[in-house]
Amino acid sequence: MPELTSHWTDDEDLLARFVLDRVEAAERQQLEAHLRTCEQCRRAVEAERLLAAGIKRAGREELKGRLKKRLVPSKRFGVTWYQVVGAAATIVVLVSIGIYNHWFSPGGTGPRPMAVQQETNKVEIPADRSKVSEKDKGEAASPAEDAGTRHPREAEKERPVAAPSVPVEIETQGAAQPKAAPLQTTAAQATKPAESLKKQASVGGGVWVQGVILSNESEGRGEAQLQAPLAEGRVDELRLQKRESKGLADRRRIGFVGGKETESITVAQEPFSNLPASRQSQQEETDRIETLFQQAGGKLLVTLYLDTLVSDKELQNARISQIGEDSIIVNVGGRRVGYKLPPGWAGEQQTQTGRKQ
Amino acid sequence: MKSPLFFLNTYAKILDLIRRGDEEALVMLYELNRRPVLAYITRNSGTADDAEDMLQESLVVLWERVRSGRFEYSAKLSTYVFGVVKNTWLRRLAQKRREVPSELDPDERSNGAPSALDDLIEREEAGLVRSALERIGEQCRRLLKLFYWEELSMEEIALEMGFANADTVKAKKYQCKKALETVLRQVMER
Repeated sequence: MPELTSHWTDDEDLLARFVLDRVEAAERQQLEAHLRTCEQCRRAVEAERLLAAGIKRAGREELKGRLKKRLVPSKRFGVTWYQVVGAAATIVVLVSIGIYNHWFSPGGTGPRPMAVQQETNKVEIPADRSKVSEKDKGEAASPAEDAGTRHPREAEKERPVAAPSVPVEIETQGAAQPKAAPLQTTAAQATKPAESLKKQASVGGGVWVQGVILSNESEGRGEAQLQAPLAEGRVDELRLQKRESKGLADRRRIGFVGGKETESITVAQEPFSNLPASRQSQQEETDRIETLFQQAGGKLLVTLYLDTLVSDKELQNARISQIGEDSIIVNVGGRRVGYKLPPGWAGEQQTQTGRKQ
Repeated sequence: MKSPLFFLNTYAKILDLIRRGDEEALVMLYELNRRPVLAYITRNSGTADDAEDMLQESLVVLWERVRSGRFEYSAKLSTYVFGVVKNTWLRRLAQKRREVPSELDPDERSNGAPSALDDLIEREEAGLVRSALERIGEQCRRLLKLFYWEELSMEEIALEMGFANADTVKAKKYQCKKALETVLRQVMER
């Protein structure tokens, strides 16, 4: 503490400490007492305060500026132009996959050769199909007069956009009438998803589930947190397959997920910024991962919305541990994410599983 | 759920990075907090931009506290950051609610908080200092920021800036401050 007979503000170090609030309470009282009687000291303190405040503000603003630059746009809150492009590209890809499945997949729901039907004047059920979709139902019921001259795809183009197909049983009762083929739906109700599931399914069908990031220490304990019914001895390590490159021929049954037979599982990832806003607002815990489960034709697509994307290699090396019919753990990029799937969630997506292959 | 050890390790690492002046720590914290902050702000009359602003602001506050050695918090870092976000956002909402038209007396105070006029004056003064800062050398600028903003000790500044010792820093700081004052006087006289 300097002698207060002189102006203590001449002491640069003390002046700075006073302004930066780094003096003890007793010392401060003493210094303030002197300030009350010393105009020159007050001015010195005011000038020091001004300087410190200006430098602080400059420092904060510069740090904020640098931080903004460091945060790549995809990690920030707003929607950027390429996120929009990315979303559009995703839609195109999904639509393409849908078209592929519809038209080219051996089990697809694309139209059957109507020319044959017209010749025989009855609905032909392909030998390998005891079930056809609602779309097929509509097709069979539509006027068949020009079916023999038009390509099935042209006929398809004129049809209104159909709702997701639902497996139906066909009873063939002699010759089919042009506008009222004798079709009876028997499986439709059974495959309708529960209302709660409908609410959960949003973008492109499927169901959203929040995965819980499990610590490595919780291996074996994390499963209990999922409150999943532990199936006795049914812990299957499932190696995931790459999706597009796998044809139907090399499908293999690898397990049941959500109570449905699952032949292949594909793990995909999307940046968190692509997550629909409605889901983002539900995300308050940092240890949750929003994930979309989509199932069709025995294929399960699991899309994780990650803050930091994992590498392709890590994605390929992803593993799934099944710990019950409705609970799984996805191991990807060094993280273990546990999921409890709602019962019957796959119902809406089971449009192809009802068919015989 | 992540184990407490996970957070302990992560936060210890982040704090260590901040103490060493590595801004990557803020990016990590940003990632850990963006979702809850976005959810909170958008639920409370804010936008995604507000959320980003609030989060960045809170990270800057944390940076200052840790760098200056004033950070004493035992809970999770995320809890601290989220707390700062909440307080700052509630304060801002309160300011918005009592915002007065410019023709009214801006010096009118309510509940002892700085008035709009105080804020304006402070911002203008800070703007002047900032302009002056840009006119002195980079070394001086950095040294003054380390001293006045991040409140590092002379020893720490010597270490961070590669000066021989604390006395050298002290002398240099005196020169830099005088240089800044001179430029500031020129700026204010304009």
